[in-house]
Amino acid sequence: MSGGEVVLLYRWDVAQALDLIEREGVNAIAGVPTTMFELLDEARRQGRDLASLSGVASGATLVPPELVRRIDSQLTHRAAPTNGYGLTETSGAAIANVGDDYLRHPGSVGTPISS
Amino acid sequence: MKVRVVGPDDEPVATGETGEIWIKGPTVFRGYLNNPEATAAALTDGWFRTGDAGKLDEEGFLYVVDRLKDVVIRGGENIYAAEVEAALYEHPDVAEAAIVGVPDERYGEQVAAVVRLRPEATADPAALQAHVASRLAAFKVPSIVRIPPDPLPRNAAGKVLKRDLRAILDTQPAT
Repeated sequence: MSGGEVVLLYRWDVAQALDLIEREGVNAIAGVPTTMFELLDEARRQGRDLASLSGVASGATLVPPELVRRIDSQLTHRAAPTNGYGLTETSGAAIANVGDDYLRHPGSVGTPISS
Repeated sequence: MKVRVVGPDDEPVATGETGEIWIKGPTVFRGYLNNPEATAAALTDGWFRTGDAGKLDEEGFLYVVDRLKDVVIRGGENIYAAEVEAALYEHPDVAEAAIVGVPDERYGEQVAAVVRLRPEATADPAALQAHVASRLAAFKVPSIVRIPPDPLPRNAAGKVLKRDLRAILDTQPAT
């Protein structure tokens, strides 16, 4: 058995998100590209390194390749960027792109999830 | 899960060519409740027709090009909104960008961009057009660029509401 904690924001607030990531030692975060760009921008502006993060996922819309490169460069290859593709009719993600695969194919949503 | 990219004849297209993304596998739904017509239109031999345009590369990586209905057709050329949006996002001043087609007498549709800049950014429409022109073919460069001060209209899941963008394009002054 293993488990994890979920840290939630009532609504997106980039300053609060940065505080929570540090205080709770958040390992993975997911959000639409707009919020992930804001997170990286604000972290850079405040000089925070987001050291606890090992994964940054984005989706719900087309993810600009620029975000994938930013995640890798700003978090100095510590955090795996993740993207996926699926619809309500596929019960969530059917395709996924993670880590080095994603960095090599930053415009792709990935390959079919094994089932 | 399995994926294929299919042409108008319902047959897979060649590697690298754009078509409709179809998905098959154990998590694909059985149908829409009490709507056999919609179900029949969405499923073909167990494949779910996503309505998204995409392509596969030689390694089997899937690229989502766009929603099929988000294609702007200008003078017979297909312009995928997402490609132009990605080019705009590479500009350092751009915080948010969305592309829609607007009716045009001569070309059928024109490419229109709605862009929100980062705080204190100064890019003007001409600079953004030049930026896109340096990356994409000339016919893909937005002929209309609006820079409203507000965040783009989005639904609860964070997706841009393209219908509402057209209202912004109608009310913001021309550039």
